[in-house]
Amino acid sequence: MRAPFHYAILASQLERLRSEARRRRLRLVEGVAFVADGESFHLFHEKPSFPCAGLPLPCFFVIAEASDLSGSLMEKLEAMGARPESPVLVLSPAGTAEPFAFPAGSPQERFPVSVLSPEKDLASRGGAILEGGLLREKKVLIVGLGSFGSVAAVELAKSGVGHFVLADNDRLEPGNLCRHACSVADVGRRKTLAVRDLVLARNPDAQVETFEGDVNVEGTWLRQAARECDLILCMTGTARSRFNVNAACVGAGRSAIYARAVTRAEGGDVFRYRPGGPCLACLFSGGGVPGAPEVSSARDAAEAAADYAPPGYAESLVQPGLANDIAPLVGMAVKLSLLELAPKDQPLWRKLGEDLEAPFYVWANRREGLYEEYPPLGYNFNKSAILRWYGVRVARDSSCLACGLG
Amino acid sequence: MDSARQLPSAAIGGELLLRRQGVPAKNRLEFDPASGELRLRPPGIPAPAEGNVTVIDQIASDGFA
Amino acid sequence: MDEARRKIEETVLASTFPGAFRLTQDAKGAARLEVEVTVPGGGSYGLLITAEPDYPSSMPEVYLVRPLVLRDARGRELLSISPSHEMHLLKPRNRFLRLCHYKPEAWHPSVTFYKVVLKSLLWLTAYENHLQSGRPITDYLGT
Repeated sequence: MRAPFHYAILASQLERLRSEARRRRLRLVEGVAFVADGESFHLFHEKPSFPCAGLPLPCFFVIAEASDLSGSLMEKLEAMGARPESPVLVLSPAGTAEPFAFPAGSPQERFPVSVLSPEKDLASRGGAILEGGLLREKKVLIVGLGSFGSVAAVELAKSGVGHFVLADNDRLEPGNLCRHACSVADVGRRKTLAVRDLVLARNPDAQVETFEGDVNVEGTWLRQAARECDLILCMTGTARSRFNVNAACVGAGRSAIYARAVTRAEGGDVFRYRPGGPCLACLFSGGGVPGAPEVSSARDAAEAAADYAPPGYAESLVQPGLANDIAPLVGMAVKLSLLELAPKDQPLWRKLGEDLEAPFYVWANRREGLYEEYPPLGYNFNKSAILRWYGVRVARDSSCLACGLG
Repeated sequence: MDSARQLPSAAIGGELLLRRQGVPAKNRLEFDPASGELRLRPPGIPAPAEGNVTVIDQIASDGFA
Repeated sequence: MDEARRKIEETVLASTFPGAFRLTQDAKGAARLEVEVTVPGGGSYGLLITAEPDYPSSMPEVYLVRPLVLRDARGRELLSISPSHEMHLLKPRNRFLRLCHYKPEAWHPSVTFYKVVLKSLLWLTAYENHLQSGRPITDYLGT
């Protein structure tokens, strides 16, 4: 027995098709379906904003009541290049009947069509803790789309954030794949464009702008982008870019979240800046923060290694940690981001806002390097240990030249 | 005259060597804008009244790239 | 470097190295600080400190521009042994010695040119001690 076919279309495309057909008195519209595994068809009459699984195949939209379907229509479809498996979606012009579909070669069959409304799903699923649609108007700038930024972008899209500015000047390399949200199919692409597709695949209605430049050089762009966004996530691996983002956020009066891993992702930290509070430079000038940034690429290694380092030393510095070690750090960055984006009268805020009062959070993945002296996790809950978050009090540095100049 | 100024460059070098060997610092390392020079302030010798010196113990102990 | 930061740098330098410095910026905002410094009981030196337009987010570089030739305790030109970990020298640029100063992980935007000059003065003091003792500069300044 043949497996039932599954047909799907975006509600937004369906509505536009119906209204266009009514306006222009159309009865037959061509489109493209993406067929995966020979049984799952996603139908589009407009170019989708995200990559689709499977291979493309001509498909057709018939705007008619089921009772009006005739043999001549089938002949017309054949003349237009329909293959036997080409999906035909039948759409009631008045919207009085549910749409259905069938393969062009089997016009007697009837399959239901899933009408997808990802933006509504995003809103309703978050509704319990974050009222539906609240984040649709929020705009976030994500600087750095590596193993931190790519995952954070997807998580924020899944949470219903509606506007993104994605900044990175790199292309995806094979070595990135072990931790990046993108896949082998994206190798060689701009990280901005590959991550944009991931965002749109979760939230097709999201508005996504991209910037393929170096924020260390493009200060004017960075300051302007910071002013136009509600929140900035700095997910880069270098101190220089983090301080440049800090300067832009302090100048624009915008909150920012900074996340990083330290050496081989033995641990890491997440810092939140709120206007008027301690800035990233206060964190470092007020006594310093232990731990050198993790070196996860050859370019970062070349910058981190001193000129006099012996041959091969820079390469030896490239020791990216596991994706599993990065996940808690990104998770905390996203949680802090949602807290910043959600209005303070939302349920999300009631307890979490009190819990996440500290501006700085430290996490240890393994008992090595900075965390070598930690006792084993065991059953101790009252001692410093790995795999726990520690909130750290950070005071504003009265002599900080980054946030004290304004 | 500020007696902290009497210690020459070799004394500063000696102090830096000791610190690198883990010996606790006895003298304070300062920069004096009036002379434009580094100097050591031995214990017990108070800073000049004008107090216009920069203590650079931390800068020295931060290490070099 | 923006205008507000430049004013702070100039004010600090004017009170600490009066008449001994010149701070300029090009159209893009890149900065050059030329400063004359003296080692107690020793020589005087000319330093050139250069900074990218995004300073103080980025670390400046320190060059020794006077005297042009510096030798180690064995009489070798320092340029010929650069880069050198033992002597805390980076790869030279334009035939000028480039001094190590702040570690990248210790750098933050509240570090001023003034502090970089002080760090360089420590290097020069260690260098003069090296000439007397033959000990590498790392013995004085650490690694």
